[in-house]
Amino acid sequence: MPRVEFHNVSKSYPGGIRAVIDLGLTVEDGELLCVLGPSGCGKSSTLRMLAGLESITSGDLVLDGARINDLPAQARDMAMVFENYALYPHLRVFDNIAMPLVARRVQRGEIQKRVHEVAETLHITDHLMKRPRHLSGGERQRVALGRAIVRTPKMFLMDEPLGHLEAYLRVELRAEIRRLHERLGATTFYITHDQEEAAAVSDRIAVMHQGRIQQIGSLLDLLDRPANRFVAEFIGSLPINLLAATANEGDGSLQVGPMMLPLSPAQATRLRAARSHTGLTFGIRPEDVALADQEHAAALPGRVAVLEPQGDNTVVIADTPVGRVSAVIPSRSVPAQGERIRLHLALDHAHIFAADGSNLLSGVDRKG
Amino acid sequence: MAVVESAERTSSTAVSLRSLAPYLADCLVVGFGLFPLYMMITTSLKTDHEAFAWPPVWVFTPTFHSYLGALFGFGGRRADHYVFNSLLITLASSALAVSLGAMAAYGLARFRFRGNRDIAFYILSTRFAPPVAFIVPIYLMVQRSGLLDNALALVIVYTSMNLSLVTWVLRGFFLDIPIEIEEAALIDSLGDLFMERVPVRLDTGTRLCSHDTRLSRRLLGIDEYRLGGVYGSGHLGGAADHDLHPGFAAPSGAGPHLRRGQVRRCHVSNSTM
Repeated sequence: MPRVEFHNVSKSYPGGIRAVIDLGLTVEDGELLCVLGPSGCGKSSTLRMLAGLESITSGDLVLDGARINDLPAQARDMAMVFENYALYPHLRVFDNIAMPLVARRVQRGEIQKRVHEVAETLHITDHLMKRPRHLSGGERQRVALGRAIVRTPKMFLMDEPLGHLEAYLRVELRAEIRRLHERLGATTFYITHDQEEAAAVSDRIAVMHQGRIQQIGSLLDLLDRPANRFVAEFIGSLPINLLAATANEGDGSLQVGPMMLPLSPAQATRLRAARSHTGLTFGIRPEDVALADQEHAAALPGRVAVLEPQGDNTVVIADTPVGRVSAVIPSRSVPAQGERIRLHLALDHAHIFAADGSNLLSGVDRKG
Repeated sequence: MAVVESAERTSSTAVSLRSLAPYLADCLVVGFGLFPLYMMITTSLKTDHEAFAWPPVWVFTPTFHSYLGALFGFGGRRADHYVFNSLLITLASSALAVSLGAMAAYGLARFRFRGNRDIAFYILSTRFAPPVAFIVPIYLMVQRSGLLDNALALVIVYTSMNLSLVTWVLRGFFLDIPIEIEEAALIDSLGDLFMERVPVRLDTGTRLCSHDTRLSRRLLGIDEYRLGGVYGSGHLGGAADHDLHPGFAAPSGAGPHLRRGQVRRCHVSNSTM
């Protein structure tokens, strides 16, 4: 029942840099929790504190109900996979995988058996007698994974394990990691800056920014109900459109450029309660912007500035009175460059952010 | 017919001459480079008289007189005595410098503390001045501590002089080893002993390099024969029969410690070097 809890954990480095601030996070037993964030967001520091490679400035780190702040790394019974593999270059693949067992004085026959099992699982049996430098990046990371799973540690720590790999290998290996996780059911703490990878391997995603967890949930949660402007900007394959907006107190509508967007009474009440009528930001993903039909009353006029063909769809970037807005349009019906168009915004997927970045509303058109 | 043939022959000779030219040039360069070596070897096989003859004697009967003298008549003792001293001193000081230097280098490479880089640079800076510049002050120190004519003095001096270089070189090796490998070892519970072994054993390359350092250390140790000459010399130290200057370096070691009989030979090797 390995379960990890961070209670108000902070990490400061000499020089006053606060890498992690007041972190509260729980990794449930058997869960693969992925911490997702841009570089420098504090995710690595969090992982290293969990591994015991970095001291904890304040707060409590609890594993299985016991505080392990001061437990040295070798006593924490965790296995870690590093971004740059960190294989022992002077040892053959077999010995690399066997090393954690050797360190625990496991019997030789047992070591043989377990290393071969692991090699079989990861399809590296042919490489057992080679040295790491003769392997490709993907093979090396498989060996590193093998070194981690050869014994049954309390939990796995993965520090951007696919960061150094080529795109097709990343896709292949993240499926492998997910498969391993479903088979072993081990508690895993995984960090990455790649949201697709996070979505592919994890049970839950925690988005981290500037030393704080911004939001925890599935990728869909993060897309549909971003906790704040940062999450909305960071998540999503295309950058979200963010437009300045103001709330009309009188009729409870939202003004985005020339458009008056109607709000339900409940939504208007919520905006009013937030006491922020100005400095609002209206966010909508390019996927939720389409070309307007005649029947769409509230449409945003614009002129096509840039076309980015992406195969079936084309990203159309248009200059509008409220700034540049991008839209994903089926390639067959793409307007020509310079053409005047009207854009329809699917309001049930739009978000309104307050001046401080917090999310006031998700789904402007939804009643309630 | 005959005319044409001879014309062809001359042109083919010209062609082969042209293709030979680079080789001839190479031969000249190689000959120029090897000439000093040739002189050294032939001089070692000449008698004293022939060695100093002017113009040089090109044809002579080789004699191994000098070799016998160096090996068996050297300063009244056999050369193996000196070779053994050299070996002992360089091995001892190498072992000391590498083990102390490795620890310092590991600390400098791995731990972050105030002035880390300054300390590393300071350590290197101790090599800026040639060791010869310190002969006299160190001589006085050795004399005051009563270590003159004692192998220990040389071990201490060599160690202290080379520690900086060893530290600097090993620091580079440790920096080259990704820290993640040490962290992996830590998390794999390989224990503190392994932790220390990982960086040192890491790969054959590094292992070779650490041998390299030791080798260059030994070379440096031998190269500083002057110090050996000064601190170990019976003449300066007063005990005439206990020369400790490292064996092979002595003949070319210009210096105050040489006996009168050796001055000439010393001069020879200096001029050929």
